[in-house]
Amino acid sequence: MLLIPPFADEMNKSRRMYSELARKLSNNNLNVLMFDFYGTGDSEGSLEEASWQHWLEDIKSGLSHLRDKVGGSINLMAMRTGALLAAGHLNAADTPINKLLLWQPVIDGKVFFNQFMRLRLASSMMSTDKNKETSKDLKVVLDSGESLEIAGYEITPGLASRLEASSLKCFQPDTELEIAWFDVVADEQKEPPVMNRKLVAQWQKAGVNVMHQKVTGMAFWNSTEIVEISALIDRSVVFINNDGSG
Amino acid sequence: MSIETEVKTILADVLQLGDAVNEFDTGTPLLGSIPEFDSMAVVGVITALEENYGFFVDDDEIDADVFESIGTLVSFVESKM
Repeated sequence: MLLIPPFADEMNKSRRMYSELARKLSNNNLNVLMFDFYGTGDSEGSLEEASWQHWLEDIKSGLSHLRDKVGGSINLMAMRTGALLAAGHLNAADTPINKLLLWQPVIDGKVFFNQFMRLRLASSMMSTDKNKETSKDLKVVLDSGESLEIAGYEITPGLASRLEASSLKCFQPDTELEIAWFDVVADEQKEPPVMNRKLVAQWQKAGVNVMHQKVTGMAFWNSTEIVEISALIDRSVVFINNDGSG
Repeated sequence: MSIETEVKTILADVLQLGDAVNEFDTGTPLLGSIPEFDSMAVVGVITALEENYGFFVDDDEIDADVFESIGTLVSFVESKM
């Protein structure tokens, strides 16, 4: 099983959940591979040299490493923007995978990037200055071919445009693929976002084998403190273990 | 749940305020009064509101006035719905 990380600070915040998932799965005799994309985390390179294409290659090499070393059926796990990359990979892949586990996937890369840009705009949003920086100004910088520093991450125009162009709506999962999609909600009365439910319904209508479940807990990928949702890990392990496939 | 209660739940989640929000009312000041409420928290709150209510917030709709108090933030959410 290959675990695909999310992006930027969301990756740091979900680190513990990823290791916990990996540990639990390997306790169940599963081979789990965790990695950081080129130019991020503990991997070599700088983010400025990274590209969406390179990251898709990273997924490919992770999967072929597992196929060579372990064999058998291979599963994929991804969360947030990692799901966009997983979809990008699966859209182009010729070797199918067995199960896809999704945690709070980002559906629209454009919406995500807008929210990400706010990390830079936050302070100017609060200022009364008439000439304060807006997302339009940031887009102008990217359009001119220059990189943009957002919250300590050097974002190249190429990376931004591929991210913004990515959407799970362009992903038509194979009907052989078994998908579990978990969304985290703050309390039991809450339902996952409408957009997510719509997309799942669309997939189901198209014959895709997708199970959509909510898990109560805190949004661990963007909370101030590091938090864990053990129910999410437990239910993920159950999904993967079902049928005993690897 | 009223919008005020929902907004308080979102604040409690994003800022990890715990039960302290139960003491909040519409007059409770936010920006500059709650230490956790920095510009990063503002971003978190806007994103959480968007995801919760399904509306989209443009940069120029947001300024310090929106985050002055629970009351001003609730009015902002109401104006978006």
